[in-house]
Amino acid sequence: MGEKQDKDQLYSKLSAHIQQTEHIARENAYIDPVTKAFVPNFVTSLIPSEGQPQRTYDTKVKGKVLSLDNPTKPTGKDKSRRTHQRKKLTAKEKRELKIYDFPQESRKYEIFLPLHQLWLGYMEELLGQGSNDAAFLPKLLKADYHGAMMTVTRSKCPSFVGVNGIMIQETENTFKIITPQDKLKVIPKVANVFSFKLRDKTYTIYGNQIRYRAAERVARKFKTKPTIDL
Amino acid sequence: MFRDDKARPVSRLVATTATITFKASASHAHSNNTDNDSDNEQKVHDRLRTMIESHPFNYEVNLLLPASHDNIQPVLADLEALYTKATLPLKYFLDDGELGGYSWLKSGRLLALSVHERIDGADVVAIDGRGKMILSVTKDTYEILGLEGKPAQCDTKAMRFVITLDFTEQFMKPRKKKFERIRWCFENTFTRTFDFYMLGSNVENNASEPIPIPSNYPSFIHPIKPTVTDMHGLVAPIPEEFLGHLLPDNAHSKFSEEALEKLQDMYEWIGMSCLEMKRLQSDNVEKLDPFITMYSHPEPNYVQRYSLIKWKGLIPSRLIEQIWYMFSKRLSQTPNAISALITHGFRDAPISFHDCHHGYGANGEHLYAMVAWHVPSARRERWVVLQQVDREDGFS
Repeated sequence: MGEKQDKDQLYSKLSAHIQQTEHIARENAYIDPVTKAFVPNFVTSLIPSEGQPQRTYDTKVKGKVLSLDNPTKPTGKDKSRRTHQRKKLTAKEKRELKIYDFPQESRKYEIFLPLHQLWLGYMEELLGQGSNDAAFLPKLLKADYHGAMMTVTRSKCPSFVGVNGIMIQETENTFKIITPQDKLKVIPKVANVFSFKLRDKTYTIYGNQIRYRAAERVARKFKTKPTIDL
Repeated sequence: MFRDDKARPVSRLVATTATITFKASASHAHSNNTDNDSDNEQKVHDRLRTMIESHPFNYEVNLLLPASHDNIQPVLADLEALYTKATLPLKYFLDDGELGGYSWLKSGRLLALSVHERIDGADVVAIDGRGKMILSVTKDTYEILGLEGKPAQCDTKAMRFVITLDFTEQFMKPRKKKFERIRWCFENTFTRTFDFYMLGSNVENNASEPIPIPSNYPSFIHPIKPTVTDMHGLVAPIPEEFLGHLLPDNAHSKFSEEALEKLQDMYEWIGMSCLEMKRLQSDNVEKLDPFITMYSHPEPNYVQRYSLIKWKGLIPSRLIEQIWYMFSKRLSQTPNAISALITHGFRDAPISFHDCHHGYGANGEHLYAMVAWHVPSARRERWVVLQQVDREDGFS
C-alpha cells in the first residue's frame, strides 16, 4: 500500500505554477542543505585549477535541471513525420488534391490571354532578329508551348479537327486547350496534328512525335523520322 | 497494284425473274385483267420501279426494241431531260439564299454528282435526289475534313471513308449545331471546288428543271436526248424456247444451272446488240471467221429488225421510269421478241443500289438490265432483271 502511495507521488503531476515557468523550478526547488554545500566544493575540487573550476561549475552545473524520467519517443506511423522526411507529393496525392486541375471558374479564355502575350514575347526572343528557320526549328522543338494559340488541323478523330485556343497545359500525352468559348478541351497528342502561327508563318507539330513531358523534351535528343500515317 | 482476279470474281451478277400472267386475251392484257392478275402485275411493276429508284446515278440508258425506226420516233418525243454542268464549292449547297442549292437539297429535288475524278483515288461528292449528301473521300481528306463518316464497305484497308449527311433530318437546318459544323467544314477545311453534273426536279410534275447557279461559277446546260439506231437483220434468240421454259415461275425460287447458263448467253447477246456488233447481223453470219471469234448465235434464233435507243448524261430515275413505262406498254405489240432496257451507272458514283457503297475493283460497273418478252400463247409476260456490280461494291 505504502509502495503504491510512493508510486503515486512519484508520478503525480507537478503543481501548475512549476509547469508554467521553468526558472521557478531552477531557483525555488527544495535542495538538501548538505547536498547544497557539498556539490560545489566537490566539483571545484575535482577540476584542475587551470580549468577555472568556479567558472566551470557556474556554467555547467549550477541551476541545471536533469530529467530523471525516461519518456518513450513518439513512434508509429505519424503522418507529419513522413511528410517531414519527403518534401514532394506523390502522384496519387497530387491527384487527390487536384492541384493540376483547372477549377471551373478559372476556365476563362480571357484569363489566359496575358499568358498568350507572354508566350508571344518569349517566342520573339527565341526567334531573334533573323528569320532563319534552320536555326529556329531545333529551338522550337525544345520550346515551351504553354500560351500558344494552337489549332488542330488534322486528326484521326474528325471531331477534334478545328479545335483552337490557347494551350494552357502540356502533359506527356495531351495538350489542354482553352477555346474562345471558355471550354477546356483535352486533346491527345497521338494521331493529331497541331499548328500555330508566328510572324506570318504557320508551324505544324506532329503530335505523335512529341509525346514527352515538356520538361523532358528540353533535354531530349530528337531523331528525324517521317510521319507516314496518323 | 496486282490483284488475283482468279481468286475473286471481277463482278457480281444478280438475276431475278417475274412472270405476269394475263387471263384475258393478249391484246387487251392491261384493260381486262381480273383483280388478282392486276394485283400481281402491280406487284411486279412496283418491284421494278423500286429498283429503278434505288439506283440514282445513271450515265447511260440503252433501250433495245424489236421495232423499226419510224415506229419508235413518235413515242420518244417526251422522253427528254436537262442537266447542268457546273463547277462549285460545297458551300453552295448550304446557301439558303435565292441562288443557293440548299432549298433544292433539303426538299430532295436535287441530284448531283461530281465527275472527272476517280472513286478509287480521289474525293467524290454526290447528292442522291432524296436529300442526302454523300462524300466519299480518301483517308487524307477525311483526316482534315472534320466530319464523321464510316469506312467504305468492301474497303478492307480502310483507306476510304464515306460520310453521309442527311438533310431531311429534323434538326439539320441552319443555325443548328450539326448544320453549322458542316458549314464550317465546307468553308474552312474542305473549300475546293468540284465539277458537278446536276439535275433539279420540279415540285409539281417532277420534271427536270435547270438549277439556278450564281453567275460567278461556270455552268452549262446540257439536254439529254435519245439517239436512235436502226438495226436491220439482227439475229435474235426466240426468247421462250431459248430461255423462257427454264425460268422458275416464282420470283423467290432459284435458277437452275442450265437457266443461268442460258441467261448469261442472253446477257452477252444483249450486250453485243447494244455495242452494235456486226457479227450479230444475219448478212455476216457466213463471213465469221472462227479463228477470230468463237461466238455462236444463241439457238433457236430468228432474224428481226431492231431499234437501239440511247440516252446519255446524268439521267434522272424519273426519266428511266418514263422510258420503262413506254417499254412495258409496248411489250404486247411485239410478241415473242426480246425487249431490253439497260441502265449503266456512273463508274465513279459513290453509291450503287440502295445506298450501298460503290468501289472500283476491276471495271467499276454497276448496271441493271430489264429483259422482257410477251408470250401471247400462254398469255403472259416474262420479266428478267439482271443487276451487275463490281466486286468492290457493297451491294451483292
